[in-house]
Amino acid sequence: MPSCVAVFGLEHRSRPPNPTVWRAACVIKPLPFYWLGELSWQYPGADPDRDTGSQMSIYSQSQWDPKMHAMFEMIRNRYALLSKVAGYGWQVFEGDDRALLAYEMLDVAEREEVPERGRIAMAARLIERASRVPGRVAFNC
Amino acid sequence: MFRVKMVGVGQDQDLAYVKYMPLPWAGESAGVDLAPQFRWHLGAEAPREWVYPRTAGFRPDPGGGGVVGLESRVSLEWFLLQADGTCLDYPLLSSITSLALTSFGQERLTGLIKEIDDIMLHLTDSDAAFFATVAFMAEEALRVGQGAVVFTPL
Repeated sequence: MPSCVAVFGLEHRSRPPNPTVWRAACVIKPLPFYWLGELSWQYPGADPDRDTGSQMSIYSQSQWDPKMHAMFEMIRNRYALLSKVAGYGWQVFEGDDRALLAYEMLDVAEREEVPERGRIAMAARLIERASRVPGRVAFNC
Repeated sequence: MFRVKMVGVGQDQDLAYVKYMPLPWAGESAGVDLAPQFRWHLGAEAPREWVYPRTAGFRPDPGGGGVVGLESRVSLEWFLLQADGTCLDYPLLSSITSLALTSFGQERLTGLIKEIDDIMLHLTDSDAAFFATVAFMAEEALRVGQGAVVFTPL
């Protein structure tokens, strides 16, 4: 599940982004987006072939929660970029998508009942600032 | 190289920081890996090599203009340094490398943001991301209305 966000400059475009390396300009960790992953794992469209391992055993169908399902539907419909953050592996945003993502994150922090909204808003402000210069923003577990 | 942190800004202040802040007028650039074993490559994009020795007790002169501090700075076309290490156009940014001023409180944050915005055009894309992060930190401290942005020499 997404748990950190890193801001990179463009010169490392050809390399896989990795928030654990020194070249990230900034890493915000932990990022309280576990609820996004939780929602996506509970979603009926979750791919059991991809979504294997401990996560699936933790977020099994036995923990199915219609409320969370409804929330993920809402996120998916209202916040197109933010719902991509819930995906697996690297989720990379470049160009104008960064500013749009920041806007969505600020909006969800202001309007929705999500955990640790202050921290999400802070990450959004970092992404917005970074979006004014060339580069990219990457989310990972 | 400096570490940059927010201090006194709030409970989330430790979540975001710059681990290794490259300062072009100190011969540093993020255009290459910043891992310690690759530090000498910093000269590839920057005109001077690595700056601050890590030996305990051996730091640039806090007053600025000390031997180590002097050698660790370089005048750039867009960042003209005086003999004492100051820069008339960017007094706050140049004060970081001279160590004359490494903690930016509320009264200086607006000026720091302005200087960062002014040098953005001259920075490499990679370096710009670092400075954008520092500007973000300064804006956070201003938004909260307390705290400072602190540069710690490494």
